[in-house]
Amino acid sequence: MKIPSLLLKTVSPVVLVLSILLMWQLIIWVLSPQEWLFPSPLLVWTRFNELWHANALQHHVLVTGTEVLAGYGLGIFLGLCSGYPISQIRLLEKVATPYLVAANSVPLIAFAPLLLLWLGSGMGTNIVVAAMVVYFPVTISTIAGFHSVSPYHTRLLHSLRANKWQRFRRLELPSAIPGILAGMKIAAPLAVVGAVVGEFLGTGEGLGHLILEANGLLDTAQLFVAIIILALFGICFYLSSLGLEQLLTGPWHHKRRL
Amino acid sequence: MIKAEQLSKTFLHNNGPHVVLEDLEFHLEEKEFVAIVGRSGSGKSTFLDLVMGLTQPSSGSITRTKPDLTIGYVFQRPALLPWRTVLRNVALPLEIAGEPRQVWEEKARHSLAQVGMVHTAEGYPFQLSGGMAQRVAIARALVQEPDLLLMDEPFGALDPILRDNLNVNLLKLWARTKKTILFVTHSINEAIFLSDRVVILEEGRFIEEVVIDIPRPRDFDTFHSSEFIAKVRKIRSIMPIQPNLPRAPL
Repeated sequence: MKIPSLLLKTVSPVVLVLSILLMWQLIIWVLSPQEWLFPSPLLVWTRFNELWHANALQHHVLVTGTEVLAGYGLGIFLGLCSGYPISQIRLLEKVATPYLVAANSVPLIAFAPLLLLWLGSGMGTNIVVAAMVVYFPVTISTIAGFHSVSPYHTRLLHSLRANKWQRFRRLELPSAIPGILAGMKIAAPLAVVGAVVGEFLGTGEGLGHLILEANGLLDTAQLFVAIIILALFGICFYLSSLGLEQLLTGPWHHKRRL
Repeated sequence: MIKAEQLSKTFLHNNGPHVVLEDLEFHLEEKEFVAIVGRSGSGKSTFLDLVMGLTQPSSGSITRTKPDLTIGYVFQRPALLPWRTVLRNVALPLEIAGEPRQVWEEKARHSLAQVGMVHTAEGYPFQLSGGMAQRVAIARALVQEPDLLLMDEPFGALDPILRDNLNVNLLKLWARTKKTILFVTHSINEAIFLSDRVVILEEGRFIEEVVIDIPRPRDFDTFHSSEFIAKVRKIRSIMPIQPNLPRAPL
């Protein structure tokens, strides 16, 4: 990597964060809104420190983090497990695809109260909600991924008399990986949304609960703390799926194909 | 090495049977270089698939004199797997055959050296030009040291100058390795330049066979020799200018 591009990659996010903070502070200076309506960055930082030292934050971060991770993992696992057979069995695909697309266009979040009713409130339910919103984009992109196998490559493996496992391992899976990763990138922020919505409906813990609590108390600074942590969650997830993509397909993907 | 008798292949379509190959008689001897020339849709690729055993004849027979005959196949496209390095692309047939790493690595390197591409071994296919990629594809077909090399318009997608160059190299490779090659093309010039024998395929039938007795080694000057031009003229006169019927796409 050349030095200017390395510089750009590391410096530009820092500059972005600094300019957001500056804008925020400017609004405070120019409009001087009331504290409970729009707290200053400094106030939010102070509130964060208070919460942190009172051990009032750690547990909630852990709960939401676990829900997001578990929901994301479960959703991906189920998406892969159903996407592959659907992509291989034509009849199954014809039957399943319209329902998948239809189910994906229903706001799945709307099902959350129903799940709460059925499964009771708790981390388990929130994991299911997160998994559900992750499941559909991953399934659809898995199907698309396995369909992107080049017919020339299929012919090649056929001529080499590769068995079914060899075809899967050496052709179908690597062909599908860019598509699957694209679905995982779309699903990463959705997992956070799913978990928080579950928490909104009342489990008494997690960052979603912290937001509701802060809202009720007009503790806007705490609200901001929770929102910023959630945003960082989303960013971390997205970056890790980006990292995975780089790891798995970095040397060849998005390059000219032959 | 290969013998086809009354070989026919019919595909069933929704709108009835479609005869692709009809009553072919064909033989291929060891160390021979035979070219099959025909226009698009004349059944050339289907014939190669039959030789390869990828598809079964509808009637007639195709026999191999050696039961364990090994065949390497070069397609119209390089069909290199983009996520594998050049070396691992070449090694693919050996990996599928279950060879251990030490074996395939050495053989793949040797095979790449044969086509002059060993310097690209650690690179990825996207870094290669079209001609380089097709040479790698040839290395992949050679890696199992096959008795017979089937080539299906391997240079058809390349520009004419590059194509001539690769053909000259192919002849050198053939002279060195003494493989049997069955080469399919729609270029009359290419067929004459390369082969010992040109078989003309028209509408699913072998309508004529022309022996090419132009002395070897052949090089760029061969294209301008009077005997070469005479052969071109002869084959042109055999091949009808207009095909009788537009054929259904396969």
